Amino acid sequence: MIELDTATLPHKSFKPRSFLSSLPPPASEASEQLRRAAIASVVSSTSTTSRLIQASVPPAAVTGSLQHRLYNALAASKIRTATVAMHLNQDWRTRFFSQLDNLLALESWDPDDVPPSEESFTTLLRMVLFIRGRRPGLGASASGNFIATWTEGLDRLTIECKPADVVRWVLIRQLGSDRESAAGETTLPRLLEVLAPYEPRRWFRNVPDQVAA
Amino acid sequence: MPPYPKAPITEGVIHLRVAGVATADEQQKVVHRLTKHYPHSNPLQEFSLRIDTTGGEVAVDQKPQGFRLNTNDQTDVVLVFPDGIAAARLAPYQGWEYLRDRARVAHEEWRRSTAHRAVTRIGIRYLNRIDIPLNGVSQVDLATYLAFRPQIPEIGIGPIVGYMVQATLATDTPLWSASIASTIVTPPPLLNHVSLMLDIDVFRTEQIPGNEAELWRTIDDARLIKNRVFERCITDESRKLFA
Repeated sequence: MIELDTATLPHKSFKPRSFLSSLPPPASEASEQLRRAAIASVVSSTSTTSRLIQASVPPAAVTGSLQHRLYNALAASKIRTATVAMHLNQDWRTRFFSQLDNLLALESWDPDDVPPSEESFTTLLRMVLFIRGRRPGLGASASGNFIATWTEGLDRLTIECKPADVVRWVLIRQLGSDRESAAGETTLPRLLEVLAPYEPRRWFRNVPDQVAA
Repeated sequence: MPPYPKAPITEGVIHLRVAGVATADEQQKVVHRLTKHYPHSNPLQEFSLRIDTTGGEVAVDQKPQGFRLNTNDQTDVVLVFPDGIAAARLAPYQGWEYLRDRARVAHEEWRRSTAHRAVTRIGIRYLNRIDIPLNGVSQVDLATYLAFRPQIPEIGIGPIVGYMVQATLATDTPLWSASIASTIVTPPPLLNHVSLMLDIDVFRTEQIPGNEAELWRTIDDARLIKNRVFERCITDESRKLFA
């Protein structure tokens, strides 16, 4: 029996890299891009061919025209979604991609806007898979984070997805004639627990009984 | 369609390498001809870094290495290399015929756009990720999910915290070899899961048919070999996860 300890972060040993999991580098000639990619090539342990495919995308907020940055953000989001597509309903995925297309359409952005980051999208994706709720409305914050919203009648839940599984939530509940609001910041594993007092099953299906009660 | 409703495939790739090198113009022609199927294209660059440890100078060189083309949803990809072409599909996997047909179209455009060069290597590579729900446990027995796993003598007092195994060997089908690798995926894409990667690369470098129809029959053979390798590397508990 070979037991794997799931509670301890594993030592970072060699990992077979995917053939084409990342976006290609844009054709920009900025020296900063070259230096960043060169550093990546030094630390990479993969073969030459794999490195060609996996050259990392410069942060969407930093380089290139707005159109270029939005394309990179959109492409990165779709590629990231592909990594977990086997866990997503096809129709859900199609509609989700339509939402992303609309959100990151060029005409909706100003040149100084910061497109949402891949790290934020990772948190968003992990969240929707974890909570198994209705597909949320999507938005973007000025600081480059995806925002997910659910509305049920007069009740509204908004979650800003920050990098590294950090989420900032704000909700408004109508309780009879009273309007109650609450807000907080937590990590994804704790999200359902912190929302437990506010009947999270209104929005999410994957709520254990002990949390929903 | 694949036999598993939730096939664990994250990438499927069919890669054909040819003798010699296509010119930049030839590569551009291939890209142009494939644009109707793959509207987005970007050049691939190889970067090399040279550090002079005595003078402290750093030099960075970049060399074009082909093109990457993809569909709007980013899930179908073609890679045009100077020495060949590859078609790839990200999840959700649509089945062998889907990927094979895309690869065939890509190769046809390659043949139409470049001087004749014999195929010197056929490679079929599938990356699989087995997502195991933890359900409150803190340890997972690898043998429950994988037949291809590390063999560890009793040198520690606790469970392992990481692993990587890799093997390359001839398969039981003449002329075909396989490289198999497995490791843990960190961080796991899903909360409250542990994910194990199983990377299978089936390849052939000898007696590759020059006739196009025979070439693709040969590539279809690789699918059966790949499937056989995959099924022998996993357990019934893994199969339940793909249902």
